[in-house]
Amino acid sequence: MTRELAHDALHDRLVSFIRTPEVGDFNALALAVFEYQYKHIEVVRRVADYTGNTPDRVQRWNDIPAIPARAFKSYSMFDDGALAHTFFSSGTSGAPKSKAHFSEAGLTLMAESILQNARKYFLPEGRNTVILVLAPSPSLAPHMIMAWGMEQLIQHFGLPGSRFLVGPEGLDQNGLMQTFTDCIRANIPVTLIGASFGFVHLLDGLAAKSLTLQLPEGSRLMDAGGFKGRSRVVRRNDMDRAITETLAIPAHLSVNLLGMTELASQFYDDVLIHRDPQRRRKSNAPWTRTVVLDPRSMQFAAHGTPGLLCHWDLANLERPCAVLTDDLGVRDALGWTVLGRAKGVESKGCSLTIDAMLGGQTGG
Amino acid sequence: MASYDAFWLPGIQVETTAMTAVRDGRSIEVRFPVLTVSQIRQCAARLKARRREVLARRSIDEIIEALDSVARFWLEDTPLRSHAVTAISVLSGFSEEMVSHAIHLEQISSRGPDMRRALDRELGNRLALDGFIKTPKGRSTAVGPELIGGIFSANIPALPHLTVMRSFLVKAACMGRVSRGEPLYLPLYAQSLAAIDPELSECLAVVYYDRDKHELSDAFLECSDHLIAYGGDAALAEIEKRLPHGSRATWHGHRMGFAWLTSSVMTTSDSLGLAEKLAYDFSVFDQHACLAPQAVYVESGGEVSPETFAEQLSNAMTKVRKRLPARALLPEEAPALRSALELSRVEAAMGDARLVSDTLQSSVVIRQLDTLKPGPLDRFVTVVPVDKAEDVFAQINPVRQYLQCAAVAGISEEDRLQLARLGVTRICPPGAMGTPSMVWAHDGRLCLADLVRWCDEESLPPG
Repeated sequence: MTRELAHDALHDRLVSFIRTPEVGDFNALALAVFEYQYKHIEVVRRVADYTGNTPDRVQRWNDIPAIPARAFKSYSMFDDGALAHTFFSSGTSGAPKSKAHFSEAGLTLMAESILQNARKYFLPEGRNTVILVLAPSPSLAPHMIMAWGMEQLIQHFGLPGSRFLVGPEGLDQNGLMQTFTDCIRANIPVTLIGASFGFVHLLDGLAAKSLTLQLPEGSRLMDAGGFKGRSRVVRRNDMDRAITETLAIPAHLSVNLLGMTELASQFYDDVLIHRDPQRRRKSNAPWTRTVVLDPRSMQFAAHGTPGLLCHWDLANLERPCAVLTDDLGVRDALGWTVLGRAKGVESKGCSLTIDAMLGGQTGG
Repeated sequence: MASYDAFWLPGIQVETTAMTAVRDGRSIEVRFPVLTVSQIRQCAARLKARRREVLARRSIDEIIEALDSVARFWLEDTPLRSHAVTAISVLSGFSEEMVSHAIHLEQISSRGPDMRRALDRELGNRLALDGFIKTPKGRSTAVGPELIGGIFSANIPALPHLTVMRSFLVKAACMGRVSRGEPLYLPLYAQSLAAIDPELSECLAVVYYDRDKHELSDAFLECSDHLIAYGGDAALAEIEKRLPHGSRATWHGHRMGFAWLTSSVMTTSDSLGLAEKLAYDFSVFDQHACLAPQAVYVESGGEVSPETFAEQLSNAMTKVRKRLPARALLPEEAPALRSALELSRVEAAMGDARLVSDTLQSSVVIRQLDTLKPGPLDRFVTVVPVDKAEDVFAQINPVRQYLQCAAVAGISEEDRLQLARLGVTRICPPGAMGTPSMVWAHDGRLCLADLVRWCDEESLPPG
């Protein structure tokens, strides 16, 4: 079978699994994806051969060898389909960036993943909200994978007026306030999306003017990324309190998203499902798995013991589906949470570039 | 559970807050002081008073004698020493053997003759600290600051006492702010000083405050006539920003070392011995010292290839582990090393590197580097094959401000000079990277001479 035929057949199986996961088998699909990647992604094949975890030996998804996210900086991780777009990770200027290559079909698969994930964990009511994104649009930031994903949300869930609010001059505060006023008057829920640090700037700005807003019921917020090491360290509870006090968005409608350039799928907090912000955990869509590995042994870390997050994402058909991160996380009986960047490994993250664009880079 | 104070504040009552450290089933309690601004000021005033009454009245040789006695005490097997070894091992993860070895190395280089040599090298004549000495044009005396503030890092067990010694060697009192990662050695050192020379121990105080407690940090900096600070770039920059205008300071920031072996020493008769010596350099302090090598450049074309040498080095690393076991890492301390190993595995699979050994206890990888750079530490050895001296210079030139120690074998005098020009501050043979003498100009500076102010009496007419 040619690569194209193999790709297209798997692509179709994955789309239907993402749409109706109850009729599929994650393990079987994962092994099929691995077999495809072993044949068509050189790094996957070489690493599998090197470690001895080749498709003829691997029986379980978690034995598919994971590629370290940092290797995306030095090696091309693509199946040699027709390249349509490349996303870059943010990072300090001059430093090598992670690259994620996509074909048109790969973008479609990522869009499927984004939409199904959002429908379940963030926007189950469908198109009933004005989506405001505190980030630059894909035309301004074509290589930022987060901007591309947010555009999908606007297209599929946003009412007219939904848009990106960060331009070359920074955040459009006036436009934001005008939309707030309009939505309050028309009683249309507002959905705010942005990098975690964007909200720090927004909340700081509102607090400086002693402004509080009563956003319409059903308004919600999604922040992507984390906080540590930038303008100031913000704790989740503090941010949620500020969001509730300033925007009248309850904590269970304030959702954090973990995404990375190296993956096509993201991981939402599950608070909107069970409505209890005190037990906030990350969720895995049915086509993804996440494990916490003890970095000393690379075995599953005991519950409560911090370890490295390792993800399997079947929407990453054209790029390695198993990615080992430098993020520390911890698991308990309810799920897993992100603790932040592991100490001593180079820092990166989407929050960084956006924070720099918003002018917060001099804080300490 | 044994309990330790992360402070030494003679004559001052402080409240404390306790923290329990656990590692490998061993646990200790550490009591951190909860200090106020006025207590820091009170402490500094007291130290300055005791300096006038004790240090200023003693001759430099009496002070050296006392410090030498303390070094001798730490070279003996005492209950205090074994408490220090256990406690620091639990806190830092260094094996007890390594902590004990570190104490030995630090104290063996803190003996009387070395102190005298260091002062004489830097001041010309140490007796200038006791009064006016004759110079060709008249007479001169050297006066140290009243109070030296020390801010310490946790990378090397048992190192902070060096700053206390430097202070006392210029007759300055010392107030040390210990690091949260290793706050215990200095208070224990103070205890030993108190047992040997109670008066002198009152010229030393050990404090701790959280880095973000700016009012305490400001009080500490205001009280210090000269600051000696260890730490990372960001931490030092933060301190420098808060330092009162006109304050004097000595900075010890991030530094790294490397080794360089030419093809002329890559012979079957020499390479094994060199591998054993370098294995010690890569293992001592688990590579956390500013002197520690991050990579070894091995010239191709010798009788023994860089690849064979890497294997010899890997075997030697395993042997060193028997005597000096590797750090016991907590899960949150292991990601940097694991991440480097996993990346090396991909590079090896891609044919861009060779992993000779890849355990958490020690690992050896052969690969090219774009420049010399810090690895994940904890005995992670990068062997870089090179063709000629210029390749090594090109590797270290971009990071010259971070260079510290180079262990070399077989290189020419001209190449040694070039290393000096490129920023290397210490050149030594393999096996000696982790054991500098007190006479060495730490970070390329005369650290004692930096501390004193001279007064010259000029009685002769010019000409």
